[in-house]
Amino acid sequence: MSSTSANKQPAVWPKFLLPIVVFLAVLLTWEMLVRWLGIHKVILPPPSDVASEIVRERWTLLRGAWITLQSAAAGLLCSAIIGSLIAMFFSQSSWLRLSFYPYVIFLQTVPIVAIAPLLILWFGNEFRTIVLVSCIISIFPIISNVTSGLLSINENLRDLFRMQSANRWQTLMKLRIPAAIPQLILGLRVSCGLAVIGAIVGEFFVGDRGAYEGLGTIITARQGNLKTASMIGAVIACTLLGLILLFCVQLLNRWILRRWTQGVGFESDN
Amino acid sequence: MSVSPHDQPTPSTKPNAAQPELECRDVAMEFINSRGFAEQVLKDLNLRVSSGEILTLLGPSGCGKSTLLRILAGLLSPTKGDVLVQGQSFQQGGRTLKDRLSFVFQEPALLPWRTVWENVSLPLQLRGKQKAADAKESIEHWLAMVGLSPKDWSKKPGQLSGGMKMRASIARAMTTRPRILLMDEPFAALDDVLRSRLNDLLLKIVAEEKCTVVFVTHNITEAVYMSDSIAIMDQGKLSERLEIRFAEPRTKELRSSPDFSRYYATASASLFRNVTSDE
Repeated sequence: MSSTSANKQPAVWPKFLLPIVVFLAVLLTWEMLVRWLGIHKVILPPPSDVASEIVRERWTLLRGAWITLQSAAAGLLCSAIIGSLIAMFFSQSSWLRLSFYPYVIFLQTVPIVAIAPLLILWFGNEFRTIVLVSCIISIFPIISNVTSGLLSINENLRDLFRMQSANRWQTLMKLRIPAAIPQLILGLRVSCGLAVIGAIVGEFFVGDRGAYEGLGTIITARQGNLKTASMIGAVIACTLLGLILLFCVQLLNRWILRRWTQGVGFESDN
Repeated sequence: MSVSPHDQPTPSTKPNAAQPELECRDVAMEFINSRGFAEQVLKDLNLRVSSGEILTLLGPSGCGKSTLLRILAGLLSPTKGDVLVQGQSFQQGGRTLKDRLSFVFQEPALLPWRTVWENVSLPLQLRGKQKAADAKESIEHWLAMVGLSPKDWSKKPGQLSGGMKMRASIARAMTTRPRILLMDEPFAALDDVLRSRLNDLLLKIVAEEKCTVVFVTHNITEAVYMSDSIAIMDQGKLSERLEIRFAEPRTKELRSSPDFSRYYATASASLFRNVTSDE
């Protein structure tokens, strides 16, 4: 076997092929182990069973994924809007930040699993409760990123606005908000995974008490019926859902960064 | 060539001496440093700048020249003393007085998400005047004046070279027709050729607009070439003031003239005399 020389472009195919080989190897080992060791299907079904369950339940899973996607996206949208508004509020004075920031940290540290039953008690087995859980769990990265984006403004740019006697509103609209957009996107990237987790946790607690069939509900229902293969199928669907949301945020990220910065022009490169 | 040892508020022979365009009276500035100690950056400083004069503040890093400039701009309030712009303090003059000033920063300080045109229109926009018919005319006049061609007007700052960004920054400062232009080492990051080109551009603009300029630099050549007068700063004080007299308009050839060398030698001698005295 010849070694690749340093100035040669590495081939693209290993990047795609190698993970696939690993994936197939894991599946094969899993299938063999389950068969040879005679593990019961309720404990660990072989991947072939999982695959056939996914195919059999494809419409249920797709519908579930669609429902969960709606709650996660709604939760993410709520946390983007509410989180940005809270950050704007914080950016106005250090007194506001000192008074309220501890409670925002409280929002971050409160175990969502512990308060989800309370939220269901207050707001019912409804779509809105799931959106709320998703929003609470995903709001903190937005608040902290956008607040720091609104506050960490280049000193000269701030002075430029002060020299023109710009008022608070003008400084917020024409300087702070546009400067914080890249930070908002950064926050969204962290939050989109959390929003999916929030939606699924919410669905766990709502269960099938509501007329509701999200992926979380499917997982709880199949757990009750000891349908492990179907459960694993739902878990895979959850993972894909998170990836889809992340992909959307990445697209937004690219589009916005291209419009916004074109290479940040703060330092003179001459 | 007249070299006065200190800039005292004594009557001079200049016609506008009765009311200088800019004046500092016993200005002192104290900062609390990171260790919690008070640090005196400016010490009872007196300065008069006449109307239409180009004054350069020349001094080593940390001598307080940028702080003085920010005080003149009203961005900082001095711990002690008064700053008078056209005979009025910022409290008396308010916004109308502030509107007569413009500031050019060391870095171009352009908003990266706005095009060159949008950046240059910003001050007029913030003053609520960008919709006036003459605003567009003024913006385009200044963009052309600083040497930016129409194809660059729709570019973002990230697509411009350092020199072009600085040109845009100067155009932005001029759209509001300032009477006083304050510049904080605007060309420090540029190479010598570009710097001398922008020096000429600035002299042309100032001659046309007849505005007063306070220019901070640590480059002696630039200081001699640009100034009607150089104030040498050292440890928060004005140590010397040099009046520079050349035939106007100033041209590139000036830099190789014997007069220029003499002024250069005097300026660098007083600068280094003061720098070595504190070591």
